Amino acid sequence: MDVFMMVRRQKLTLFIDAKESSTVVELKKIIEGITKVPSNNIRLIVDSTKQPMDDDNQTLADCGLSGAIAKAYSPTLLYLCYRKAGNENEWEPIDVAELSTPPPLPEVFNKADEDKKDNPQIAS
Amino acid sequence: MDTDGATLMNIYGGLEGPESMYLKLISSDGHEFVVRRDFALTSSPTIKNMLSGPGQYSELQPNEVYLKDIPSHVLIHLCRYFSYKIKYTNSSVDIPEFPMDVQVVVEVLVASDFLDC
Repeated sequence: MDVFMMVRRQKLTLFIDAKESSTVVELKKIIEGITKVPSNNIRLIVDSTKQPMDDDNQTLADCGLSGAIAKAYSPTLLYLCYRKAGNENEWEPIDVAELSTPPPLPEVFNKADEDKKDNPQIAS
Repeated sequence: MDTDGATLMNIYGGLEGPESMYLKLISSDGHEFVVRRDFALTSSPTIKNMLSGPGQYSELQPNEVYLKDIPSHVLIHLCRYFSYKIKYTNSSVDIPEFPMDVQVVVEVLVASDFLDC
């Protein structure tokens, strides 16, 4: 089963899919390929449980990422942190930039049902 | 040694070269979204044209597409839609409904018209 994930850090979002049976280390290697950060300096944290994925040999299914939960249109959110430079055991805090906010909806949307009844010319 | 490095890159994807596995889509507010190349090219002919357009030296191109009219809160829905469309096209299983926030619907409609998907 394919697991769909959204890996986020600051202004970067990676949409990655992998097999449920693939391991944490394979996912980190894919991220290494994209970000050019060595996989041993990468830490992934599952949003729903706040658990870091530190055991490289676990499969994604072991970390709670299954195909049934992580759908294509609803990917599981993971946070990405890099190791702090110069300090072997310290990791960056989770830091994700906010997305832009949508503008307020025009009032038209509140009357959507009435409009459908009032506009027969659209149907013809 | 070099061929080992090259095959490793091919297995694990990356952003370089004309055959990279991933593409970077950049929204108007500077958010970067990395999606699988085949998902984006199949779902959106506009993105395909943007990449195969001007620029002969494709090895040097960074595989980035600047979408300066699309804000990040819209682009994130579009990226989810790419995966959804690829997974469920020609699918034999029941296709679940794609969930969408009412608030962004209008903007997503405009952006999807631009991307032709």
